[in-house]
Amino acid sequence: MTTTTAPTRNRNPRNGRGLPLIIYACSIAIFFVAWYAISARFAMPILFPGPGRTFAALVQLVEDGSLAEDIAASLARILAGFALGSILGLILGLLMGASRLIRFAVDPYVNFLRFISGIAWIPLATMWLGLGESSKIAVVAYVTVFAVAINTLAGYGAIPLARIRAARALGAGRRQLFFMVELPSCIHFALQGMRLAMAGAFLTVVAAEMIAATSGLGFLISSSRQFMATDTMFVGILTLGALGFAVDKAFLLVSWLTLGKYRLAR
Amino acid sequence: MSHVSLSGIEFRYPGKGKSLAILRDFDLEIAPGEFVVMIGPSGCGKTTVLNLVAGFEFPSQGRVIVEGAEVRKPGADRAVIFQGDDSLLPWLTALENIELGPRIAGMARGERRKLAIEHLKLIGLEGQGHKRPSELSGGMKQRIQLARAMVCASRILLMDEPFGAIDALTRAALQDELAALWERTHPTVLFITHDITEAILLADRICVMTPGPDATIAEMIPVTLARPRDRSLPEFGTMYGRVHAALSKSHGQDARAASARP
Repeated sequence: MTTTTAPTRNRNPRNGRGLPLIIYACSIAIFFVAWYAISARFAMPILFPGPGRTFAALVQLVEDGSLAEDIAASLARILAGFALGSILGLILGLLMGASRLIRFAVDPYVNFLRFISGIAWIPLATMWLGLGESSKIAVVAYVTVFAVAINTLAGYGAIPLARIRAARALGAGRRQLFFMVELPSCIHFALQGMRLAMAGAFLTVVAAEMIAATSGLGFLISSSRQFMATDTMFVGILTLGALGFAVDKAFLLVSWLTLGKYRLAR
Repeated sequence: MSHVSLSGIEFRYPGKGKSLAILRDFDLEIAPGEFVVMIGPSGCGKTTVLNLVAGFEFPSQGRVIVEGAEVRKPGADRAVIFQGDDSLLPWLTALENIELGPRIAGMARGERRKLAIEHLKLIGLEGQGHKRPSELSGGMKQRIQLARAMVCASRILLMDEPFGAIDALTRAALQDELAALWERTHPTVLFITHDITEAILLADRICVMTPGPDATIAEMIPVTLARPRDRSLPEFGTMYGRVHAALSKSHGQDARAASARP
């Protein structure tokens, strides 16, 4: 069925296996050098702390344990909201895929709400759910639901007709068709949606913590403003990036180990 | 009594107003254990006929009767083999794919595994059962489809250009294997192809279609050559000429492109 495509450059992973790591390392080194060079040119170092000052702030935040606390607070909100949103999104996407009635009934809401940023709901969420954890988790779940639901639905649309027909010709009823064919066919797409949603969850939790929280990386960054603690802000910002990077890689690894076989289901 | 019977069939896609009829005045009777090959170029409605028998689609007029009852939905009594590899579940291994029918029917795990391993042997893929479809060649995947159908012990096999996307050498091997398999258990087969050699090799009767729309049967050619059939015999060549002439008469110019002699 597949036609052979013309060879594209560097498709063979053996070509320069160590090269990506070297490029990675060089790229990061260049970043630090540039960071240092820019900070050295600032007349007021307090506005743009260099790597040294930032590292000192990092050491202090690590030593007094506050960074770990903030990471834990943000991560707990992200993961709780992400998990809740992913489950709801998966269910919603599957329902929309399996039932035309539900698809057309829900579609206008999904495509209306997904353009309303989770951040826009934060003030209302705090009024409805209070200043505690539930308002942040709710907003993170909100942004996750749509990405996961829409991707899951796309997965439904991508199921080859022959796959459905083959299962029906083997005697599969509606339930069996769903659990043996449709759901597994959508897993790969749902996972992709979750990966996209993770970035949205990070964005949203920071905004929520800046607006209404007393802990978390967003709070660390916004509260540092009062003391002109730009080095602490830098720590918060860089930690967010590193944390997102690590969580994404962990997500890829775990999903590969547990659901890897469904990745073949293109 | 015929095993599969289509009578007075008209088929048009529903809900399109004055849409063209793909099939019109189409009648076909297939006897139990008979191997019928439908031939004609793309777009002449052969796949539609197969879909009607499979229960994937329903005629606008006329009746499709299988084993005395009107077809209302697909079922394991009519195994379907598709052209591409889309119908195999890519996350399941070869064995798990073969087991699918018995699993749907609720057979116990150990029992269905035993059955699947037997059929894996039968199609010559012993020891390949742990591989996923993406790790198998096109010919192997079609063998898996065949085993998956056979495991259900269906008395009717519906094959929609099953070897159309396979390289010529593998295709020839698969054709011979299918012929041998059919000799052993004599299921009723409706086989679709646009390859004249394949049709003569396998068929009891070759059903030459008229071009669509309003497609119907142009000519029914019985093939009485002794089995197993030998592509190199002069009688085979004579039959080839006859089928080719029927196709050309029915399709004019189109047939030349569709029936390039291998």
